[in-house]
Amino acid sequence: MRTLFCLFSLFLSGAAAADAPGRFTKQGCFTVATPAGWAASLPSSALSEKERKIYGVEFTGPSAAAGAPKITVNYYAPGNKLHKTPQRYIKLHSKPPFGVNADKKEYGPVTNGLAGNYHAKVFDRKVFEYVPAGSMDAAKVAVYERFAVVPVKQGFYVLRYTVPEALAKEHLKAYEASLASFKPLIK
Amino acid sequence: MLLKLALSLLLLPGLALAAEAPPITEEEAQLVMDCQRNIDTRVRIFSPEKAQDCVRDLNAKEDLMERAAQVNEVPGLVLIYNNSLVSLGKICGKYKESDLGYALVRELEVKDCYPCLLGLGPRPEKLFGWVDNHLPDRGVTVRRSLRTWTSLGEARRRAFQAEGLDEASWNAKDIRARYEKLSASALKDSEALLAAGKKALLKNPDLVAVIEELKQDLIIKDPPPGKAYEYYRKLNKLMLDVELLRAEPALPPGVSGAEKKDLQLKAANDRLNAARGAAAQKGFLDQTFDNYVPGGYTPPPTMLQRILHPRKYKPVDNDAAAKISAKMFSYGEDGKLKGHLAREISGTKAGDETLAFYNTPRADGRNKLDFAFERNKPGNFGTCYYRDPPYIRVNTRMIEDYARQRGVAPADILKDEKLMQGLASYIAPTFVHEAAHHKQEVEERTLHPRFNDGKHRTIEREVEAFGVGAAFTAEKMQKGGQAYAKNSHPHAVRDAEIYLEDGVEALRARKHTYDGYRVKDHTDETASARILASGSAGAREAAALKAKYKDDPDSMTAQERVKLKEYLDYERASFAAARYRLQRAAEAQRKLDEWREGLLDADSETSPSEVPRPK
Repeated sequence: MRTLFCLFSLFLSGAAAADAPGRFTKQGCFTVATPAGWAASLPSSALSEKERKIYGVEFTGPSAAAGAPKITVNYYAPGNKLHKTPQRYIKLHSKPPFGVNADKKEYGPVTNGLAGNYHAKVFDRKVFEYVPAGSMDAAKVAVYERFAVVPVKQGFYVLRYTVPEALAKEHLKAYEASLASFKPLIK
Repeated sequence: MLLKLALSLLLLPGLALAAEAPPITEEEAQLVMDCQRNIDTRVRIFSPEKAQDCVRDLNAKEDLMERAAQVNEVPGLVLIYNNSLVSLGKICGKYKESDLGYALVRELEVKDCYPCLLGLGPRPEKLFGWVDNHLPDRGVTVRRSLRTWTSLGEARRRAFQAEGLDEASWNAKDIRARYEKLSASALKDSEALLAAGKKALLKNPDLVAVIEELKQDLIIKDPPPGKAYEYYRKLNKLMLDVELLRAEPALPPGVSGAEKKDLQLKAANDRLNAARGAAAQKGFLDQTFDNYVPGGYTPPPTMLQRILHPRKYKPVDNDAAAKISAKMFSYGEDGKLKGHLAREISGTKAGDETLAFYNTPRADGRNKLDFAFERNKPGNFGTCYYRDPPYIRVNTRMIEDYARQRGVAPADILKDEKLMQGLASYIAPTFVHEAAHHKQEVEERTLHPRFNDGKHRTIEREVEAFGVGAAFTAEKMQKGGQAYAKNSHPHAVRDAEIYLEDGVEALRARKHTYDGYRVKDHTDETASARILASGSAGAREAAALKAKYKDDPDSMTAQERVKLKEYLDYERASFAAARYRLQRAAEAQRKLDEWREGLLDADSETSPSEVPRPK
């Protein structure tokens, strides 16, 4: 196997431009500060980003017994597979789907805010996860989420903070820093 | 040189005819070369994210792997190595403790260890640089889970040094050997602690840290030794007893004896939790362990806690279970399914598709529904058993849960049609999920009979099944509203919400780490996984024969040529099966997301409206 492996020719592709320290760039889509010590990963899907037309990154913060905080930044291009408009995204996430709220989720009002220098619709909510997932014997865990939806001429962006409620205050600054640093590259 | 190899393959009758395949496009060639670069040991990129794209994209087209031979001598290896990086990324990125350890055993401590050939094993310490580079937040967890010397904790290191061990000799042990040693030591030390007087233990400032360490080591080995859980419980009680001895809280005047006891217990628990928090920060402990309560959070009832604090069920007896099963489903004289569950699921996209699968006769009869309730472990909703033919069992605990919530006995359900229909509604999402697995099993085996032995569950199968279940519940929620949701299991409703909000891929993100599946069942299905599973001796022999064919084909015996052809046939079929699984997953996601669009478009609240754009 080693011999075969050594037969591979080295292909030198053009190197991608390096990000400034503490900054993440989704090529052609957006750039945002990376919270210090958080791990970046790409979402997993059976379909490519190109087919889905959703381009994003997920930052995962330090784990705790309650779970790990996450910040996801996504660009939804026109014609994307999930959300036709930012309005629909906001309606789906700021209200219970189909008005069904059996477990007393809580939703805040949708107000105006900023993501970087860009206007955003912001709102938060408290929902519940059942942990461990897939088990009948799951505990109900309160999860806090905050959203910033940034409409642009072509598509829209969402910066989303997801965290077990017990840890929401602890990591909020990291989310606010990402929000303040956000720069869309498609406007 | 590559062309010569391709042409030389033509000489072997019936073998891979790379030169006959259409020419590879520029874009495809770039893909192959980028994926090759990702695993090149001279460049050492080894990106798990790039590897994930490579696995998906190299499998996306029917004959791409064959055409890839036009630009790469062994494209199969490009796939295999990238797949191993995907597996490592998921194991190190998502798991912890013995789940992580044993998963790495399966990747690293095998004869055909592909990560090892990238310099990432077999000793787990060789992986740490890669983890620090690609998964920087996971360094502590990975090291701790693998019980590397520096993560052991002072107490344990001192004890092992007294036995003559040091960092080099400890880290030379493989993962299983470390777990064995720690488990055995933890048993011995637990016995000693439990035999010691509580007053003597009062003087030990690190008692909590030591015991928490012991508790984790007691259960690090899989399966844990017989007394592990008994000692685990006793150590918890020991810590609390010692804490109760330590201090009397200041009590308000006039408290009763019972109130005094409660206050003492609360104060002791508060001190204990603070001590656990301090110990965790010192790095003695892994980041998560049960009983740790930061900010009042109560950890979920893990399997361990279920053993420690079993819920009291009134079990459904077999006779009642059989009678309820028969009411759920039976075959009519027309050969179509009827019963409460058939009625419940019909009229929905997912339900109708499920019924069509069962109601359409097949020559092999493998789609005949064999449904029953059966007692299973706590936490399990239901299972599709991949036998011949497959059969579905739903846990009788679901009947008990349903009955308990309504304040009735399980036997009452048999006497009340409304309760019976309510139970059908309660278990329908579980049934639709398991039926999706049944359909997968039957359809895949028909197309790829050699590779659907039922031993290899994958995340792709689970995402499709959860997606179908979520789509079903979402459609029922749209029609039945709050009343429907109140009668449903919260899991089913939550899955439906996630599906409606962010589609199937949001379900995928949640399901990969769920406890119901051991890590080994979360492998991404690719040809390389199958090739790895084909047995190390076979894989080595095939590689040797390929090399011989390339270097000196005339020297091959007829038997060797037959063997090589068998292997190449197996490889091709293996790639085809893996490709099918990935393509099926993609088709399922497209279909389920289309259904979602249909539900949302039909709902006035979420129909698309004009978008006022910012100026």
